Parts: sequence; C-alpha cells; structure tokens
Amino acid sequence: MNMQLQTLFELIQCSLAYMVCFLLLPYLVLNRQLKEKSLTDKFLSCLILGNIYIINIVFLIFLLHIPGRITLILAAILPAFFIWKKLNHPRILQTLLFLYKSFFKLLTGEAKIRTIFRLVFHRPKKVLLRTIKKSIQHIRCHFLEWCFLLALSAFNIWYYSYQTFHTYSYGTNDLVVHHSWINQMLQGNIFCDGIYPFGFHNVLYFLGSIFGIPLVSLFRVFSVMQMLLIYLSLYFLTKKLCRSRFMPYLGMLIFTLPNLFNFQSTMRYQWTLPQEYGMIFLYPCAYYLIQFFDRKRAELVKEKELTKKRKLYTWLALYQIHPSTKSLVFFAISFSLTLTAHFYITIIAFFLCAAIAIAYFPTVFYYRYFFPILTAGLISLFISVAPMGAFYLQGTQLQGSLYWALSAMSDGNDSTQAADSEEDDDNDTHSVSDTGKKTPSLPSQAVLQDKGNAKNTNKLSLTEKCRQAVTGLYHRIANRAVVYTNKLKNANHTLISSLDKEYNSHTFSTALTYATELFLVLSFFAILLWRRPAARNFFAVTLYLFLMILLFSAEDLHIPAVMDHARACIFLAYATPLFLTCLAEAVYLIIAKPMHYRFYTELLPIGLCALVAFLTIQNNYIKKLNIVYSIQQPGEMRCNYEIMKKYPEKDWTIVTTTDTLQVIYYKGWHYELNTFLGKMAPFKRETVETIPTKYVFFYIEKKPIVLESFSFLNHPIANSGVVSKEHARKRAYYKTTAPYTADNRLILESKFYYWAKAFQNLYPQEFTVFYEDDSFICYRLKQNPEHLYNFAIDYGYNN
Amino acid sequence: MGGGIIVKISRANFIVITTTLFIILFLFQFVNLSTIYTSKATTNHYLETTDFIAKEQTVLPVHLKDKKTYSTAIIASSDDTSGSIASEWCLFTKRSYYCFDSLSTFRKDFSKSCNMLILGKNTVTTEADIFYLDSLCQKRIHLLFTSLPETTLIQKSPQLRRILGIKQVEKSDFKTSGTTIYEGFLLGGTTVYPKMKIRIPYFSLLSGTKTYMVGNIKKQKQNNIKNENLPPIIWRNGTQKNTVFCLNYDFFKDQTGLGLLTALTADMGSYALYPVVNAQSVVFQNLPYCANENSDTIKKRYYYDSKALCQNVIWPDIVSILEANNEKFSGMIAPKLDYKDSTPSDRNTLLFYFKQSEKISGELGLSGDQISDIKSYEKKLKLDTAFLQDVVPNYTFSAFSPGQMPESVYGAHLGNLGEKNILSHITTLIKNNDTTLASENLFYYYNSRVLALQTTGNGFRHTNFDDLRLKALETSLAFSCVSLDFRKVFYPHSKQDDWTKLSKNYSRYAKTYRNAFNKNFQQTTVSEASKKARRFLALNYSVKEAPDKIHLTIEHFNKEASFLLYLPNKKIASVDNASYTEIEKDRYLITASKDHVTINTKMQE
Repeated sequence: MNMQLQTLFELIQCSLAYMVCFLLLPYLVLNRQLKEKSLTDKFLSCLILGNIYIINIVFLIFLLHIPGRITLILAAILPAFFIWKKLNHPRILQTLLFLYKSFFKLLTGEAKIRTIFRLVFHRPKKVLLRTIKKSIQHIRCHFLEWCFLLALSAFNIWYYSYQTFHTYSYGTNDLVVHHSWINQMLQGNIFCDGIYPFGFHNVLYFLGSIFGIPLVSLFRVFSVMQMLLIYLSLYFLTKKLCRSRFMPYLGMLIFTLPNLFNFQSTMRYQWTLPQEYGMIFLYPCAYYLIQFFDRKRAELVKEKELTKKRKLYTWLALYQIHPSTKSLVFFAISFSLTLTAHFYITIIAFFLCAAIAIAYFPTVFYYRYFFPILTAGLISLFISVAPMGAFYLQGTQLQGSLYWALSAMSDGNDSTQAADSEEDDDNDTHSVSDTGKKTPSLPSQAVLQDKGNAKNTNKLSLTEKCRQAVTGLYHRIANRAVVYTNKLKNANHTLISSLDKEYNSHTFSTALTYATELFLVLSFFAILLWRRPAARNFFAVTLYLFLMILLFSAEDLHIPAVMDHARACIFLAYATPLFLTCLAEAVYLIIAKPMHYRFYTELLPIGLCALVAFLTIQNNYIKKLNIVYSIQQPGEMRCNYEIMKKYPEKDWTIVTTTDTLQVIYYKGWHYELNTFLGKMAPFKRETVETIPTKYVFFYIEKKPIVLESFSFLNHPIANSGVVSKEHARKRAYYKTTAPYTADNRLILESKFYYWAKAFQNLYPQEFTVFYEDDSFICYRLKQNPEHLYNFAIDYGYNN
Repeated sequence: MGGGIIVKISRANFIVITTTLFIILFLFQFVNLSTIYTSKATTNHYLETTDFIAKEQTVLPVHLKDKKTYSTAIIASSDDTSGSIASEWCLFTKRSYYCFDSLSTFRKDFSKSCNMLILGKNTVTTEADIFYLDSLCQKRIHLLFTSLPETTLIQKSPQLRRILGIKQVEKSDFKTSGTTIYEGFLLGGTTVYPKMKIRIPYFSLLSGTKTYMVGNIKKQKQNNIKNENLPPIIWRNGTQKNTVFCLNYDFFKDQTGLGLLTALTADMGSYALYPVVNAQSVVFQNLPYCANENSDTIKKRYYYDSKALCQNVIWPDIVSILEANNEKFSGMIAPKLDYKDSTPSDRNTLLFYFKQSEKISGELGLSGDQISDIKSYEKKLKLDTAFLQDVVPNYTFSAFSPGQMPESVYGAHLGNLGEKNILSHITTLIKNNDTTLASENLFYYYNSRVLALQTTGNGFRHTNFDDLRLKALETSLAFSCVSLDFRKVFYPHSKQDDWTKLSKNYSRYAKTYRNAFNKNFQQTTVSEASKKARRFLALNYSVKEAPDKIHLTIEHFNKEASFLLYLPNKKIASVDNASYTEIEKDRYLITASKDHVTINTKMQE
C-alpha cells in the first residue's frame, strides 16, 4: 500500500479507536447523567472520565500482574458494564427473555423473522433516528460555528500531520524512549525504566493491545488526535469564558493561522509525547474550577433564598450530588490527569489554578469554597500518585529523569539563592551606575540637606519644621518612585527582549507585555469595582499569562527558573490566544452592552475573526511549516512497514543503526551496524559472521542523518554528506558509546555501502535491492537458514 | 399377520410407481449397454497419425555444435560420461556448445561468445591449467567442475583454492553419514538422504560461497559442528567477476547430472527459463499377462492361479494406486512369458484387459520379455503377432518395451511400415533400464520414426540415489518414466518378489516420492510422453528480458510447449499467451499456447 494511504488509514484507525474508547464508551455508560448537559460539558466529561478510567484500569492489571489482551478487555468492559447497569437500569433480563421467546416463536412458526426484527430493532432505530434528527437540528442552528471549527481543525490536521505524511519517520529522539517503555509494557513489564508518569503510555498501550494497532503507527499518527484535543480544550475554555458565541474561534484562529510564535512553541504538537498528551487536561482544570465557582455561587444564593423561605430541605432533596461538587470532582480528575501524564503540566496547572484562586480572592478562602477545593486537590494528588506509590512499595525504583527533576529542583533552589544574590549585586551595580553618572541620587541629596540644616534645627519654628518634614518626605517618595520606575522600565525591557525569542514580531511582544501589565491592573480594579465573575476570569487569565511570561523570562529576569525556555515557550504560546480572546471579549462586552448582546452583535467577533484571517493571508503571514529532528530516513520507515507486514515474524533481521530498533522490537531481529562492521575490521580469513534468519535486510543511509539536528519540513533531512570511498577509507570507531554521531556515522555508512556493493558481487541473485531512493537504500538477502552465509568479507575498507 | 395393516394404493399411483421403476431400470441398463456398444477398446487412441514429428524436424546436435560460436564449452575426455551428459544437457536446453578433450585444445579454439565452461574429470592437472582458469575468471567466464581436480593439487595451489572458494582441506578423504540437499536447488525442497554415504574430500569454504548440498556427520550436535562447517558436496563460489560451480562427487554417472547442471546454471542469473517435457508416465512391463503359466508356484503363494491373481488381485490394486495418485496406465502386454510352455494365451483375458484399460484411459503396448532361452525371442515375436492380430486385429500397437529382448531381434522391425509385423507401426520404444544409461540420451530418435524413451526409475525399488535422480530429472525436464516389471511377480525368485510387498513398495513410492511431481506436472501414457518429447526436441527458443517482463519466443511451436521458470526474487503478475502454475516457491510451470509468450513480473512480497 502507498505509504501516504497507509498513514491516512492509520490516522483514521487510531482516531476512531481513541474516540470509541475514550469518548463513546463513557458517553454510553453515563448517557442519562449527561442528558441535560451542553455538548462541551458532555465532551469534556467523557474525555476526562474515559482517560482516568482506562489509565487506572491499565495500572490495575499491571498491579495484579495479569497484563494481557483478554484481561485488559475484561477489566475495561466489566466495570463499565456494571456502572452502566447501575446508572441506566437496563432491562437486560426482560430483553433476553423476549429474545428467547421470539426465537421459539420463530421456530414454531408463530412469528415471522421480519416481525421479530422489527420488535428487536424498534428502540435502537428510534434512538438512531432521534440522534440523527437532533444532530441535523444542532448543525443547522450552529452551522457557521461548525464551519469555523472544521476549517480550523482541517488546517491544523494538515499542518501537524505534514511530517507524518511526508517523512513517515519519528520526528524526535524522545519517541524512541517512550516506544521502548510501551514495548516493555506489551511484554508485561510496566515501569521498566523506573517509575514515571505513565498515563500517556497506558493510553497507547491500551489502544495498541485492544485494537492490535502497531505501536509504530500509534507513535506516528496519534499526535494528530492529541493536537486536536489540545486545540479543542483551548476552544472549550474560551467558550466558557466568553459570552459571545464566535469569540472563542478568535483564540483558535490566532493559535492556528498566523506566524506569531517561534517554531519551538508548536513543534512538539507534531509528535506523540506525554507532555503534549497532558496538555489536553490543562485547560479543563481551569474550566471546571471556574465552573465550580459559578455553580457554588448560584447554589449559595439559592440556598440563602430558600433558607429565608424555609424551603431548604426541598432544595436539598433536588440533588443527590450538588452540581458544584461534580465540577470539583471533574477538576480533581483533570488535575490528577495532568500529574499522571507529565509533571510539567502539573506545574503549569498549578500556576493556572493559583491565578484563578487569586482572582477569586477572598471568596476562595470562605470555608464553603476552601475546604472542598482543598479536599479536591488532595484527592487529585492521591488519584495520580497512588498507582505509582503502589508500584514504588512493590520495589520499583523511580525513573532516572525523576531523580534528575528532583536534583534540578534542588539546583533550582540553589540557583534561586544565586539569582537572589545576583539580583542584590545588580541593585548595587545600579546604584553605582547612578552615582557613576555623577548625578547624586535623591536620597543622598536629602541626607546632605538634612545634615546641613541640622545645626539650625533648634532655631526653626514648628511650621518651618513641618514644612521641611513634608518636603523631605515628598523628596524621599519621589526619589523611591524614580528608582522603582527605572527598575520597572528595565524589567519591562528585559521582558520584551525575552519575549522576542518567543514571538516572531517585536511589536507584538512589546504590545503583549504592556497589554498584560495594563490589563492586569485594569482587571484588578474592575474586580474591586464590580466583583463580576467576568472581571475575575479576565484577571485570572491575564495573571496566568503574566505568570507564563515570568516563567519564560525567568532566566533573563534572574528569578528562579522552574523549567527551561524550550518547554516554557510552549505554555506561553498556549496562554497567549487565551488572553487575546479574553481581551477581545472584554471589548465586545463593553461595545455590545448597549445593544443588549443581541444576535447581530455577533457580527463583531465574526468580523474580527474574518479580519485576522484576511490580514494574515493578505500579508502572507501564515504559519510556516515546522521543523523536524528526523531520526530515520523516510525510506527506512517505509521499509520497516513493508518488512513487518509482508515477512513472517522473527524470520528476518535488520542490520542498521539503533534508530529502528524499537520500531521492529518483538517483530523481527536487529543487528547493530557498528557490531556488524566491527567484526570484520580488520579482515581475517577465519572470521565468521552469520545472522541466523532466512531474510536479512541491510539499511544503508546514502546521506547519513545528523542526529539532534533539525531541518525544516519542506527541506531535505539534515545530513552529514554523501557516502563516499574517501569516507569509507577513514578509520571508524566501532566500540564508542555514541557510534552514530555525525562523522563516525558517515564513515560507518560509507563502509557499509561499499561492503554491500562487494557482497552483491558475490551473491548477485540472493542479495538484491529491496528499496532505493536518493538518500537511502535497503538490500534484502535471502539465505538458507540451515546453511548461513558468512558476511565477513574483504570489501576493501575493513579498517 | 391378521393384525397387519393393509395399505391401499390407487390405480393411478400404481401406474406411476411401475413406470418410474421401469424408467430407472432402463436408464441404468442403458448406460451399460451404451458403454458396451460404443466401446472402442480395441482401437489405439494414442496412435499418432497426424502432426507426427520425425527426427529431421527436431533440433539435433549438429545444429547446436559450432566450433566458432559456441556459448558453452565442454572439456571432457571421451571416456568421461560427464561430457556426454553435458552435451545432452546443451541439446535439451538448446545451447550452442562444443566439446574439447582438454583445456589446451579449448585454448586453441577459444570463442569470444563462450560464457561457460564445463570441466570434466581430470581436466585440471597442472599449474598452467590453473593459471589459465584464473585468466578465464577474469574474462567473466563461468566455470562448472563436474568433479574437482585432485585433492593434492588443491592443497598445493592457493590460486586453485581461491578459484574454487576453498579455505582449506580439512581431510583428503572423508566418509559422510548421509547427505542433505538444501531448498531452492532441486525441486522437492530440503531433502536428507541418510543412506547416501559417500567418500569425498572434506573442505572448508571461504566467505562468498553458497552451498547447495552437504555431507552429514555423525554426532554433529554432540561434536558442536555448525551446519556451515559440514563437508560441502555442491557449492558455488562467487568471485567479483564470475561464478564457479563445484561438485565434490561424481554425479555424472547417470542422468542425475542433467538436473544438477540445470539447477546450478539457474542460479547464475536473476531468473531461468528453460523448456521441459512435462510428462509423468508409468510403464507396467509384462502387464497385462494373458497366460496361466507357473500356476503351481503362484497357487502356493496366493491360492490363486496366475490368471486369477492378475485379474482379481493385481489389477484392482493397480487401478486403486493409479487413481489415488492420478497416474495414467501404460501396460506392456505379455501374451505369454514362457514360450516353451504349451499353455496358450487366453483370448478372453486379453479382451478383458483391453476393456479395463479403456475404462481408466490407459494405453496398451507390447512387451518384449520372455523367460525362455534367447532363441525364443524370434518365436515370441511370431506367436505374439499371430495371437494379437487374431484377437485385436484393429489395434495398431504404437509402444513397445523390449525389456531383455536383444536389439538384433526387434531393431529391424521397428518403424518398418512395409513389413507385416506387430512392431511395424511402433513409434515409441521404451528402453527399460533399472538406471538411466549415461551413454544414451534420456530420449532420442531410434530411427526417423521411432523415439526411444529411457525409463528413469524402478517403481518397486527406490534408493536415495534414485530419489536424487528423480528430483534432478524433474527439475531439468519435468520428466519421469517409471518402470514396474511384473515378470518377477509371475516367476518369483525370493520373498521380496511377493506382490503384497511389491504393491506396498509401489504405493509408497507413488505416494511419497512422486506425489508432488504428479500434482504439478502432466500425467501421460508413454505415447503421450513420446509426443511431448518430440515437441520438446523440435522446439527452439529465445528469451529477452525487459523491466518487469520476460519475452519468450518459440521456434517450431507445435500446439503447446512447456517451460519451467525459476524466478527467485520476483513473482509472476500475469502471463500472455500461456497459462502458469506455481509448482513450488519461486518456480513456475509455463504452458505456452502460442509461439510468443510475455511473462509480466512484479517484486516479490
């Protein structure tokens, strides 16, 4: 099959599998509970519950040491079935009895098969027709919204799947590590490398095991589904925050179309990685926390009202669980999911929740708010940490990166102190520089004046004394103000220059910095004045962006850096459209208020979206294709697919670098290139090198890849040159720890190329070209497994 | 009875039932009667009257032997059978060739079109020969050693070892405990021959070699000997410019060499397409047997007399074995075996076998065997002619298997249309030998009309060497002609000649060893095989390769022609003007229906 068609098929397969398990299954189980909810609520609830359920099911079967496809299916279906039965009270027995009777009626000829079919399928048919009718009605009412959403999603799918569809290979080294961990899970070994947040791995393991989707396919295409969900959670949060129906699309549009952000901010969305998977649950945390405040407020008002009317018990009887409690539960689950997927997301989620908490000050400290939130927080921590804790107690060690993270955090503390001391030094420097300019600073001037006038103090009248004191105070305050203004100015400059690394436009980064600061103050005052949730939410979003800016610029500002630039820029970019949407929404609220937010006021956000899109296209400011750190040539991945598909399992070996090892793990065998060539260097007649499989494939890069080096997607993959005799003649390092780095890789591949040419002369019929393109060639050798060929030959460059 | 139920049927029903019964009776009887009245059992359906290919219409060695333009040179002394086998192989594969008795004569008449050199026994003896061979390697001429030079010479000469791909001589004489042929060499896949214990020099090979056949070693696992270190028997050494094939044992004593040459040369290119006969036949020598001789001995063994044994025991057994293996019957009638015995041949018995043979679409020919003294052969011919012309006057015999009959007795009569002899219209002569003779071609024109076919094996006895020969001939020609001699059943000498044992042997042979070939190739009577062999000898062909296509052009195409295609790295997508079947992995049987065939190929999955 054509590789692009294959990719498309895999994309559809993975997306459908994910949607069935993580959206449809929870929806079917919680059908009644979700009945009255909005589409957004339904979607987010299903997504979050589906994830927490399946992730923990996977943990459970591994904790019980019963991993396997059947146990996984049973563990996933049985509890879901019982919950469904408990919640929906289906008449299973009656249905079975009816089927039984119908069957006998059919046998005795009392009923025709058509009648029975009609009776059996009456309800499903009704439900189906109702669903179709509702869907059509929904689409008709929200046609333009759907058009916007689909258009933006289509662009994103094209943009982020470009790499998958064109280079086929893994875009970054990290994928190999995660692939190896899930490979181990498939062999019944979770946390093979130590305890690590395995939520993402559990999801992929589940999809791979249940649907039999190869992991390589999941790692190649799952990123598209992941990216769509990240964009959708931004959309859902903006939808929650905006009154306008169309304003949320502005956020999505800004994040989708213009070339605003540095390529690093969005490049990781192309790849299937745990951090990006965790990002799906970041904004739902905010969504549910804000929903909790809204609902709680409404509940308290209602409660107060009914208490006055002495009808409190009537109200309480209405609910088994308060809506606000449900929101808090979902918040807790979302928060725990961030921790289950990746620690960095939890840090950002913490900043986001802190921003919301500050915005809702002092409400947040009322006991009716504080204790539920605190409990939710603790529960969420428990949910996410408990499985890892259980494994830790069973004796599994922490994964290396966690030790690294912990040490980095301790280093961070050290650096905090260092930063503090550096900051002090800076302050001194500033003062020195002030004095250096020989413009005496105001405080010292005041001091001098004070000293000069000290002798005459006693002689002065009380009025004069007061006047002098006021003047002194004025000077002192003015002096301080100047100092702080200067500091702020400097900080602002630092921020802007730092943000220039994140945004592609200096004007934009300047404007955004000032806008953030300005609206932080304005929204604060708006809270003081109106205490409206809209103002609080706007403040929370602004504060969150400000925190993200600080996080990103921490190193430049000499404050403790929680994470490195490369990571922080992702979250800053993700927060930017959220802030801009809220800003536009604030303007919309003010402008449309006199018109009472009638339907025609929606023209404003629609026009704004159209204008942004038009200007972006008009000025050719559309996002450029991103970068990729390819670790395989496209041909290599194509061959992997072909071989895995067409050759019997374990009947073949691939001789190549280590980049393909995880892809073919447990399907075939892998023989490392440096070992292969190393055995015949130097050549000895008695050297015997055999590979005991019927088929042996040899992957040769004609243009060896430079690992850790990126290339733009519309450019050729970063390579270190073309294989040549000159390079083959050079001495290669076979036993080094990193044999496939730039120069040695080129030398090894050159030797390998000429070995293949020489071997082909000896075995022209058996050693044939399996695949070849400009930068890659794959040879296939068919040998008799009962009498193996000796690969050790003198090919002329055996040094 | 008094309490019995009386069922009354209406008159109409009675009539319907009776009529139906009559119709059924009539239909059944009609089939039998029609078979009897339309029977043409005493007519020879296999007699060729039209499209008869005579010797002059075929490709003969004269057409292929050319001293200036030969592509294959055969170096062998006149007493070396490998030379004749190689010549026969060139004839069958339609290669231009020339035979030389030594390397020096070849050197004198070296042709630029030569691309392959077949070297017989003791053709490389001196350093000069080795040096010359090395120069031939540089000229990209492929070498094929039907047997290796002296081991001492190999030990001495590193240059010769390099040419042959030998790393070192482990033992100059070694007895194997059996042999193994690997998959992809001959048809039939990997085969272990535990009883093929041969003495060979034990070599270890260099990298760049491919081994097709090895000798087995006792306690190989216990001694921790890898398969790659087993004594090689047949291998290929790839050098940068040419290919050298080596046979470490003399397989050219009989026609086995034909198959080995085909299998080895097939591995020289990306594919191999060559013509085959595509005929599998079984010759039942001295069956039907029409006399009741030696009855006392037979009765002691079987409680039947000879005639009854043949009709009631042997014939049903044979029919069931033939049906089980989809084989065709070719019986060589023995009206009598003992011409000194006065017991006459039975007319009814003969007619019985003609009818039975017709039912299973078999063919009947004449056997030349008898057990009396040598003088009785002439008498036999006369008596048989009289008897057969009396009983089946319309049956023209086209196949004759002389058996032990001296050539001087039948030679003059064969194909002599002017003579009124039973052998006058014979077109197929079955040369019934236990093993094929290397001195004679597998099939050749006895005279202008008569084609002689050598039998390729004995159906009652099958050794490891027989199996190797069978596989070799199937690979090379898709041809086998098995012989089963029933003389020893009617005149047994030992317990081994008991029919119960012989029938088991034959059944086992057919089911185990021939079954795969029976399935893939066409089952024929001897006359059909002869017709196919004539077509095979008559045709010539040329092959051209284009990307994903193989063009085959056939000269002297006559109705159909079969080819074997060895295509190791690709597979057939479609074939124009021919049908094809995959007989084994990478091997296809192409049956051309027109003189130009295009084979479309695609990459193997």
